[in-house]
Amino acid sequence: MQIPPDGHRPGEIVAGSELRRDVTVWGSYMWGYAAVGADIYTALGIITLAALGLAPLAFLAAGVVFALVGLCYAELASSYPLAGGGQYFTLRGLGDFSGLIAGAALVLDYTIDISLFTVVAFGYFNYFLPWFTFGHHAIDFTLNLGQIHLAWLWLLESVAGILLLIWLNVRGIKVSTNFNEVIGTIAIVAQTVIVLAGFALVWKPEIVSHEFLFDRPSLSDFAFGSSLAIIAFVGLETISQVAQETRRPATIIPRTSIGLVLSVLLFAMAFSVLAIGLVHPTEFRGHEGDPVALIASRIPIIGIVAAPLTAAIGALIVFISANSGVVSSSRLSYSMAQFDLLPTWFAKVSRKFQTPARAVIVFGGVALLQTVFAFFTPGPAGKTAAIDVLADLYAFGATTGYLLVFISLFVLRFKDPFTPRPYKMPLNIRITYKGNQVWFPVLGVLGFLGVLFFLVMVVLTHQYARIVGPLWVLAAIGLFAMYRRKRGLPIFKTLPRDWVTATRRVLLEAEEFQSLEEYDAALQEHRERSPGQE
Amino acid sequence: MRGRILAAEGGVLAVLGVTFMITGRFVGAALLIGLSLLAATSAWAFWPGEH
Repeated sequence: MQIPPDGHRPGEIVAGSELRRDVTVWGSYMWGYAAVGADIYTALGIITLAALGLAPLAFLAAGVVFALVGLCYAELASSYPLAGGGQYFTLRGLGDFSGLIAGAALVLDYTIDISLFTVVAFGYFNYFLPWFTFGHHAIDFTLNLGQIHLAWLWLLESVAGILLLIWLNVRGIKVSTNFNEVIGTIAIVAQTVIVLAGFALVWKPEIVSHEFLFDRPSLSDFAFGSSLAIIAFVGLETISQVAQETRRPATIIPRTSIGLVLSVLLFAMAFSVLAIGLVHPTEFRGHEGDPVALIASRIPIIGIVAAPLTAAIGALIVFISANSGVVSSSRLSYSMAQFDLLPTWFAKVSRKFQTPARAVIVFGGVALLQTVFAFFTPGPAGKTAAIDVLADLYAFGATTGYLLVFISLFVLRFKDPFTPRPYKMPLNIRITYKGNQVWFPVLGVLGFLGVLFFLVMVVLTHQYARIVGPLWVLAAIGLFAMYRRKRGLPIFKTLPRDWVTATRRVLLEAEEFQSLEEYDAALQEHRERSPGQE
Repeated sequence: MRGRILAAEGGVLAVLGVTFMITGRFVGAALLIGLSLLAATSAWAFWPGEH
């Protein structure tokens, strides 16, 4: 990418779109569902073990904040339908350096997403291991190296799974989207059957009341549990990551985001309420890798079939989630490289497959390293520490990124009131700013405070995330500084960019002609009111 | 399709909630009816859903 002498990026570079627009409404939903829908399969066990009888409340607390984040993303992703998600919104709102921090934090989460969900996918897969190994469980294939309990077979499976995902994503999004859609549909039907059968046949609300009153966690354990619950809600980021490849994004994205928020909240609440009324929270110990299969096995009549079926579906849906982590990390780094936040090497799109193959391979590689690190971490006897370590690491990036996105939402409402917003967060106060009418988002303030609360909880209660998260961001800042210095670009200043041409080009490419007309009219009106200003 | 699945789920949860209410298990009824409302809202968000 050649940079003009004055450093001013023309619109066609800012809006560059080498990615194909071939993701439909169902595909867009499935990308999001793949990331967040798997949350319950992954997190139910570890959250219930932390929050005990208050596990449904932990999910609810995270779910309310998640809903506000969802509305914020619905507005921003439909207004700015480019790959990059939270990083792009932060760049537009707060400038290059903040965009870099948001992007780095979210990339960290996506790489952990790949690791954690691949490990858990094989946790479900290993439900079937005794069928092939004459009764041996995954934990029987463990090497004890001092305090390290290395589940070597599980590690090998996870490494193979990540390599498969890298290969799939280098081949192209079309393959991956179809893969998501088929398995995601099966998973939704199966989740519905388990929830309904569980409530109808075996659920006891009196146990829920008892657990709620007499099996309460400490405040720090509850905070840890609820912060774990929010982490897996990064699926909204995924929807905005594929916004550049989504057809008619202004129409599709708000609907997809709101539907996703509601349906994921439904399944998270239903499964957590069902779990508390069905099994004692401590029974999840040893089932962190396959918690939903444990629930299914306790349902009479259908349990004998439902448990293996759930394990199979769990393995697939969680593997899809890992897949969406690969997609998102590569799209995000592609976007960051386009804006000179990462070396332009990452922005190179494969000529053959039209995918950001280099970024897929690099961040898939980071996920491989994290997986190996997690399996080699010392832990309690009789179990691997891998899931605990990866889950602990997961929350920092999402909460940091979401916090910056909320600030950007406020700033963009003031700085860029011209870009059409096909969807606005509800509850706004109208104010006049520099002669323009601006709608200030009251719900956005609540969302900001909620995310800030969870970020503080993560720093206070996550022993790995509070060290690794800031170190990762510092490393990204170091790479950014070296790259900018090499290119002769300012480190702390935001590069000038032609956002008007960029916005027009994005709307044109997305075939959002009505939004384009509205944008031109708003700009024209602004020029007439304030001649000489852009 | 997802709208219909979620609507069906909301319907069954509502029926179960009413059953729990009739049998005097009010906490269970409240939780199930709450979930059925959430399912109905999810179904509404997707309805008709088939673009």
